[in-house]
Amino acid sequence: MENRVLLSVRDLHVHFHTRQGIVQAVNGVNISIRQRDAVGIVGESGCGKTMTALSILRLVPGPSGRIVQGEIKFDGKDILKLPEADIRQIRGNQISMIFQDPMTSLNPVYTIGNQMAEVFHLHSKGLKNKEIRDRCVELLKLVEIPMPEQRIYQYPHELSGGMRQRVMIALALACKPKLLIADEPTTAVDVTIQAQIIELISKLKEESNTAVILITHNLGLMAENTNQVIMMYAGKVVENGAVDDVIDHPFHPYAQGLINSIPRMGKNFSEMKQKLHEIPGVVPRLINLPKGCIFAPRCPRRMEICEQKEPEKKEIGPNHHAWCWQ
Amino acid sequence: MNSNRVLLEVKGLKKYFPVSLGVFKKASLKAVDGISFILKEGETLGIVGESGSGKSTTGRAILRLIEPTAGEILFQNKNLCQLDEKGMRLMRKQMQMIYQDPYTSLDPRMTVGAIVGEPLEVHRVARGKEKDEIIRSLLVNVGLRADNINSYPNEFSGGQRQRIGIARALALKPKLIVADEPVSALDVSIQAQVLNLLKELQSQFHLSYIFISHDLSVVVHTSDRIAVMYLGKILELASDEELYFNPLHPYTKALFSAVPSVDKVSRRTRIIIKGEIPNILSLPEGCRFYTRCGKKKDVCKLREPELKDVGGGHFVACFLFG
Repeated sequence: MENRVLLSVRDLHVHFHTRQGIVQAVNGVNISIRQRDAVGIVGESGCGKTMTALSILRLVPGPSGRIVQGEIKFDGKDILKLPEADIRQIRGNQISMIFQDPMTSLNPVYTIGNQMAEVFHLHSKGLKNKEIRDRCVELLKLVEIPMPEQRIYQYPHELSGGMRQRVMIALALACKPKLLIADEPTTAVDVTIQAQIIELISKLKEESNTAVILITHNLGLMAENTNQVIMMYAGKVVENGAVDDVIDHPFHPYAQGLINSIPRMGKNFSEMKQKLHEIPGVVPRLINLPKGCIFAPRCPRRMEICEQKEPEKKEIGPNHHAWCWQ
Repeated sequence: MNSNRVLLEVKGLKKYFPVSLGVFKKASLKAVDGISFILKEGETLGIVGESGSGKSTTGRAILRLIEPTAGEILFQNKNLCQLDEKGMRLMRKQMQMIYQDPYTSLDPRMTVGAIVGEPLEVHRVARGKEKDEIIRSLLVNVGLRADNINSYPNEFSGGQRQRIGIARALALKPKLIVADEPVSALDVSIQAQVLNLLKELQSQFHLSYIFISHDLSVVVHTSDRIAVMYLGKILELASDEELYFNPLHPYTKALFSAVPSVDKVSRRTRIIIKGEIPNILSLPEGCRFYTRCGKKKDVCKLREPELKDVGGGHFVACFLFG
């Protein structure tokens, strides 16, 4: 199988109209994902990583939120120009998404089986009820849920957080999507369960050749489970590249700051106990953005030009870019 | 700075919550089931564990914010459990808490000055101008501006709110601070700011911390000694360095290996423990970790291992050792 581009996002802008003004949540993001890629989008809250993902599925919450500019091409189709009926055929079928909170993403008044069956009713019409039931059981088996025959008759509250997230993964994989977007899939579960869930996602990815976008604020999780990384700050991509390049040789001062600000398990012990690197200041509000580089007010190596002109894409190495004037 | 004087000693602390499983069926949820440890002056004791391990309950029971079911809490050799309400209130001047969620732990209708000044008023430490002076200097201590005194919490970001919570905890010059997941709700770059601040304040004000977190890397970074909790028990307790290099309990090992690391070279082989935390209402007999343990023996199913010193203050509750 050749490794062609599956998804390309060009110059994406997402705005929210609020009483305080226009919030520029996503501000010119470019992404390109090939088949079999595992791409990590990292950044702190409010950097636009979730909105970028929702845009790909055209799920930006309206009417206040709108994709105002950009192009999203998936498998040759122009996502932003498709009629609603066609985009429905892509959602859940070719691109599916796992959300952060397994508590709120399952409907509490329907059984697990009921909710899983809905996917088949929508995307593979003509299946008999018994066939659907078998497919559901099979899927639950795939995500290693014990006693799947009984689970399909249970309600979400009868399952633990980890089990619910497994159900979400089963739902997301029901139609063998080409692209799986996992938005903070393990933030709501414990660390030992996180290890189980991540292992499951990567196993299923290997088996079915699905491309994965992993959205996370956890740098360790990203480092271990992706090959490409996109680092975002305040609605913009600040650095992208192969995961090892970005982690080992971050170029952008924000990327450097972020990587140095976590207590790193696995470093030698005395380094682990040292004072953590701080990024001074706070993430800016995304209303009335200043001219120039958006990180400039917090940047330790700010120059005159940073406050006047927005930085351009700069090649650091093969397939490794940063948006910085340095 | 780390003296050898014991500030706090907890002996056989238990906290059971009654739960009703129907009209006639009652049970008790053993959130904390007999734990003991000491905290020295100027020391940070980290308590790490997954949800439901009883770490937060432990923190609250120490301050008697919830009544312990059994056990002794000796603070500077005084048994807190025997104090009446008035005596306890006096003691609380010396022990304060920092909460996890900076959004819900600050009253949105109170100014920063009122929030930070409330403990001063309750304990009649200072009033009027003098109180304002103390508040201003506290705000500066935690990295805010003195003129923030008249602002409201909604004007601040999560990290700044956590600083307000820290200023409130410091107001009475306590000896002990229980920090319950103080950075879990914060962004990565802000976490570093707050962790560094806590460390600075510790040496500045000679504080002792009980630092509760689910994040092992944060706990190793901040603590001098670490207790690993699982379903209401301490499974392992050792110094930071000892636990980091030589974790003994199979659960601790799994916990360490489950933390995703950015450093390729030193990634340990992952031990993925099967299954989930059992229901705390129907605990397995014998060792609590038995159902998920990869190294279980027959004896583990029959008896519960005790927390034993295996040398140099390294305690572990496992039949594989000691």
